[in-house]
Amino acid sequence: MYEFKLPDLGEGVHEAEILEWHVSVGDTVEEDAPLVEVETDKAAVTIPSPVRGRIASLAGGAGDVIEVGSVIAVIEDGAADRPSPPADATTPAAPGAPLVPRAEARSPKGPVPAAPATRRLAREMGVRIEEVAPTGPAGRVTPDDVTRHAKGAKAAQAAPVALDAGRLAQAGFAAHAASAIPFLDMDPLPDFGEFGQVTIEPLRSIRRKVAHKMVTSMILVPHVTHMDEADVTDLEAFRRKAREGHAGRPGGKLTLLAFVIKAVTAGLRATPAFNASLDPFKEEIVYKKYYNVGIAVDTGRGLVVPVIRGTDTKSILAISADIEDLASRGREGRIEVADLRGGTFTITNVGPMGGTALIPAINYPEVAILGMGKVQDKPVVRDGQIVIRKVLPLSLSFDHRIADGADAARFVSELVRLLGDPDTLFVES
Amino acid sequence: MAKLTMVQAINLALTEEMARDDRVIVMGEDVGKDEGVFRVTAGLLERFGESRIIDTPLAESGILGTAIGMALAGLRPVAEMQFCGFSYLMIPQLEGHASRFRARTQGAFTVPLVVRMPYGGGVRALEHHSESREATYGHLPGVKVVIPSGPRNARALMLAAIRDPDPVVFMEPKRSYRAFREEVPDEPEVMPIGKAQVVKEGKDLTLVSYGAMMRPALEAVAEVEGQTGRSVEVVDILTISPLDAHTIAGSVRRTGRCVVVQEAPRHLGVASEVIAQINDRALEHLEAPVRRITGYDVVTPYFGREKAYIPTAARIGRGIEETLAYS
Amino acid sequence: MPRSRIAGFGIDHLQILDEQGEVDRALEPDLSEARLVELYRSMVIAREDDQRMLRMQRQGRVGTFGPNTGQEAAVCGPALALEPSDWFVGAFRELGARLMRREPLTHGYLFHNGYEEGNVFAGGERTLPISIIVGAQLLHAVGIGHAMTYRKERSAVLAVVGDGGTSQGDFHEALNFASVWKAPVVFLIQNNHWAISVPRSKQTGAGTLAQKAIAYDIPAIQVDGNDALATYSAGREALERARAGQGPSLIEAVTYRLMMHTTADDPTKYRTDDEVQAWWKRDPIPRFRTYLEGKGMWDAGREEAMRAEVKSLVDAAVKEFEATTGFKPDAPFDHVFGTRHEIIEEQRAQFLEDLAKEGQ
Repeated sequence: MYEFKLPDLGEGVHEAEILEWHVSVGDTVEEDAPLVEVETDKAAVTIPSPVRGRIASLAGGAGDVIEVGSVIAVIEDGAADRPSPPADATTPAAPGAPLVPRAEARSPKGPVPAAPATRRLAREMGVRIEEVAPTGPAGRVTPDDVTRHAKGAKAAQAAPVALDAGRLAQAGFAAHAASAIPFLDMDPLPDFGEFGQVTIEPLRSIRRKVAHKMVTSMILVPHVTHMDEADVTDLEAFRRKAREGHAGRPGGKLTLLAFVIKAVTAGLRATPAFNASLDPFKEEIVYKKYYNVGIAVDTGRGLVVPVIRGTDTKSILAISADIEDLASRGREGRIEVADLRGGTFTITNVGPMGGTALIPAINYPEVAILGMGKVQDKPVVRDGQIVIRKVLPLSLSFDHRIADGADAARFVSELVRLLGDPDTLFVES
Repeated sequence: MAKLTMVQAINLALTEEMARDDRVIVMGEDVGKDEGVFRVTAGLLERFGESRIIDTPLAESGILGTAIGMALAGLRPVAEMQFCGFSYLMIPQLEGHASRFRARTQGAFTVPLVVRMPYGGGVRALEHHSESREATYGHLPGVKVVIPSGPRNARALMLAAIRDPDPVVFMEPKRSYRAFREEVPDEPEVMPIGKAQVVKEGKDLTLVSYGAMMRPALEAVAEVEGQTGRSVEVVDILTISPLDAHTIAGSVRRTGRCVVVQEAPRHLGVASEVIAQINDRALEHLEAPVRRITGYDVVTPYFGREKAYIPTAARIGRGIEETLAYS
Repeated sequence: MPRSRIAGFGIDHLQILDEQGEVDRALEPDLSEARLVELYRSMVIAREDDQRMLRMQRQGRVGTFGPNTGQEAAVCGPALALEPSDWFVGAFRELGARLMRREPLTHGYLFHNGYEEGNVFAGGERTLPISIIVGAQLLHAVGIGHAMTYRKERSAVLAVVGDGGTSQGDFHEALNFASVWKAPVVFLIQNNHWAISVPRSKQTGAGTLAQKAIAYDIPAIQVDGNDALATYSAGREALERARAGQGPSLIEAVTYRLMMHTTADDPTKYRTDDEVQAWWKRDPIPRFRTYLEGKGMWDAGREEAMRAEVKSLVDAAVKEFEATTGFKPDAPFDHVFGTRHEIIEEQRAQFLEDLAKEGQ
C-alpha cells in the first residue's frame, strides 16, 4: 500500500486545488501515468502516479483544496505499507521536555544590578546577591559588597560601615554623604568587656530576621501611634458564657483576641488604607481585597507572626480555632514558612504578659499594627457615675505615608465601639 | 633585518612568493607599469613579466571572476581592488562563487586566491576612497578576512594568505602604508591566519583592535598606563574571519574589562561580534560592560570632517579610563 | 577624407539539417556512424531523463528543477566536439552536455533533491557544477582559459549562457577580458527566447545576440540551435580555434524552451500555446532521427531497442538515487575552509548536539 502525499509542487507551495482526477477508486494506474490535475497559486500541473497499482482511495473531488504533505491518494501496489519519501532527510523530530520550568512571577524590581564577575563571586561564596546591600553607583552590588556580606556581622564589628545605605537608596532614600551628620553611619561598638564580664552569642535565625525586619520598618516607615481604651465589660461577660457552651471544642477557648480580630476585620473593610501596602519604586498603593490578620507569637527563640487567613469569611469560633492551632504549633516549633506569608495586618497582644500601653512597630510591608494591652478593672465615669469597668488598652501604629491621624482615630474608635457592644460586633462584622 | 614600510613589506611578500611559486599571478588595475596606485607592486612587472603581472581591464567583477577561474584551474591569483570603496562590484563573485565553490563541491573545486584592497580613512582622499567595510566581507561564510596592522605582520600574513587554500580578502590599512617602519626579518616569516596576537600583556583591561586603529590604540594605552599606573593588555585581531575568539576571550577572562576599537561604523561591526564572543565565553569574568570605540553609523564623510569621525587616541583613552573606573 | 567607413561587420546564420531532416550535403560534418549515433543517443537520454525528472518533481521525489526539453541539440552538438582535456562551464540548462561529460544521471537527482553530493563526480575535474547565478560563470571560464594559456596547455573552455544572461555585466566583462587576453573560450549562448517570462525581444534591442561579440572583436555566428549538425560544426570550429591559440569565439544557438522555466513556473501566464506548438515542430530529436534513417544508420527496430535501453538506464539510476542514504548531516562543516578553525568546529559540535536533542 502506497500513501501518496501531495508534494510541494513549487517552491514553498502550501496547498493545491484538485481540478480533475484521471482515475477512480478501483482503477489500475500505471507508474508515471496521469493521476490528477491540480492547481497551486503558482501553476496548474499534472501529477503522475508514483507507482503502479489499484487506486484504493482518493482524497476529495474537484474543487477541494489539499494541503501539501497530506495523503492525496492511496494506491495498492502489492508492496508493504509505506508513505511517500520525506522531502528532507534531516527533518527534526518533536522537541523534548522543556529545560526550564514554568516561570513564577518575577520580582517587579527585576534582577539586582551587578557586574557579571560580581555575580560569579557571589555564587562562588554562596551569597544570594539579592540579599547583599549594594554600595556601588546606580545601586550596583560591588565585589566588596559581596565579600562584606559573606563575612557578615564580624565585618560590621570591625569597622564603621554604612548600614544598608544602598538598599535604602534603592527604596527611594537619598544618602547624602556630604551632610554634616553622616546619614546612617554607625560607629563600631565599644569593647563592653572593658566594663565588666560579657558573653557573646551570634545573632542567628529568627533573632537576626527580626532585627533586620524591625530596622527596615523603623527606618523606612514614618510611624505614628494612636491610642484609646475599649470598655470590654459586656464582651467579657458574653465571652465567659460562650466559652462554657463551647468548652472542649476546637476554638472553644474563645480568647479576647478572636473577637478583636473580628472587629479589626470590620475596621479594615471600612478603612482600606490599613489593609494596603505602599510601593515606593512604582509609587503605587496596593489595596488588598483579602483580610489575613497576623498575630505576633513568642516562640522563645524570637518573634514570629503567623497569619489567620480570610478573617472576613470566618466565624469568631473558626478564628479562635485558628489561633489555638497556631499557638500550639508555635510552642512546638512547627510553624511553617507558608503560615508566615501573605499577612495584611498584624495584632500584637501583650495583654497576657501585662502592660497598659505599648507602641508596636509595623510589620513591614504592612502599614498598620494593633497593640493590645492588659484588660484591667478600672474606675470609669458612666452617666456621671464612677463605675468599675473592664478596660482594654489599644494602640494602633500606622504608616503615615499612607494614612493620617484622622483615619487612625476613626479606625480605633470603630474598634472601641464594636468591642464595647457585643451585639453590634455580631451584627456588623 | 631591514626597516620597511608596510607598502615595502607587502611588496616583499609578493616578490618572495612569486619567486617561490610560479602559480602566483598578480592582477588588477594599474598593477603593472604603474606599479599600483600605492606602489605596492613596484618592480614586479620588471621581474616577472606580463604573463604574471596582469594589468586588467577596469572591471572589478571581471577581475575577481577571472581570478576565480584561474584558481579553479590551479593558479594562485592575487587580485587587487584599487580601493575598498570600488570593491563592491566584485561582491557578487565573492559571495556567489569564490566563497562557496569548496562547500558546494565538497572540496572538489577550491578557490585559493587573495583579494587585496587598501581600506580606511585618514589620508585626505576623495569620496569612495576612505571606507572601512571589513564587516561586509567578514559576514560571508567561506571567506577569510585578514587585516595587518604593521609592516612585519603585513608581510607574514600576506605570505600566509597566498599559501592559504581558501579565498582571503586582505585589507590593507592605507593610512599605515607609509606612516611608520618596522624591522622585517630577512627570512620569509609566515603568521597563521585565524590567530589573534597579544601584542602587549597587562592585567587590568583588554584592548582589542586591528588594522589602522592599532596605532592610536597603543598610544592611548601608553597614556592611560602612565597616568593611572594600571596595565592594559592589547590584542591585535589580525584575522577578522574566522575570528580567534579564544585569544580575545582568554585575555578578557584574565582582566575582566575590555574596550574594542574599530574605525568602521558601529552597527553590526567587528566590535559587535567581539563583544558577542566575550558574552559567550567570558561573561562571568566581566567587571564592567565592554566598551566600543568606533566610527559612527553615517556615510563616510568627506575628508574635511574625517578626523573628527575616526577614533583618536584621546577618544580611545577616555573609553579605557571610563571602563577602568566602572564599579 | 573627413568621414569614411573604418570597419564593417556581419553575422552569419548556419543551418545544416532543416526541420524536415533534410541535410545540406555541402555543409554536412564528417562524422562516423558511431559518433552520429552517440550524438542522437545523448539527446534521447537527455530528453528521457528530463521528462522523468519532471514527473519525479510532481511526485515529490526531487525538488525544483529547470527542464531542458527542446534544447538538446544546442548543447549536445558542441559537447560532442569537446575533448576530455577541455573544460565545460555551464549554466543550468545543459543536461545533455553534462551527461556527455560523463556526469552520472544520479547526480542530477541528488542536486535537485538538495544535496551538494550531486555537484561532484569522478572524472568531473574539468566540468564545473551548475551555475545558478546568471552570467557569472563566463568570467570563471575566461580565468580558466587564461590559466590554460599560462600553463601552455592546448585546452579550450566551452562556456554556456542563456539569452537572459547576455544582459548581465559579467557577460560583457567576460567577453572583454577574453578578447584582451585571447583566452581559449567558446561562449555558447542558448537563445531559448525566454528568460522566465521575459521574451528575447525585451532582453536586448540588438537584432541578434551573436552580434554582441562584434564589439569585442570576437568571431561570432548564429546557428539553428535545434540542428545538432550545425551546433556541432560551429562548436568544433570554435574549439579548434581556441586550442590553436586564436582566442575566443561566440555561438548563438537559436532554440526554444518547450517546458516551463522551472517546475515552480507556469508559462501559460506569459506565452501562447500556438508559439509553443510551432516550436515542437522544430524539435531537434525527430529531425536527427530522420537524418540517421536517411543515411541508412537507423530504423524502427534500433529505435525501439535504444528507447528501451535508455528507459532501463534511467529506471536504474532512479532506483540507485532513491536507495542512496547516509548523507552526513555535518558535511557542510567539513567544507567551509580547507583549514580547521576552532570557531567553526565549536559550531559543528553545537549543531550535532542540537541535532541529537531533536531526535536524529
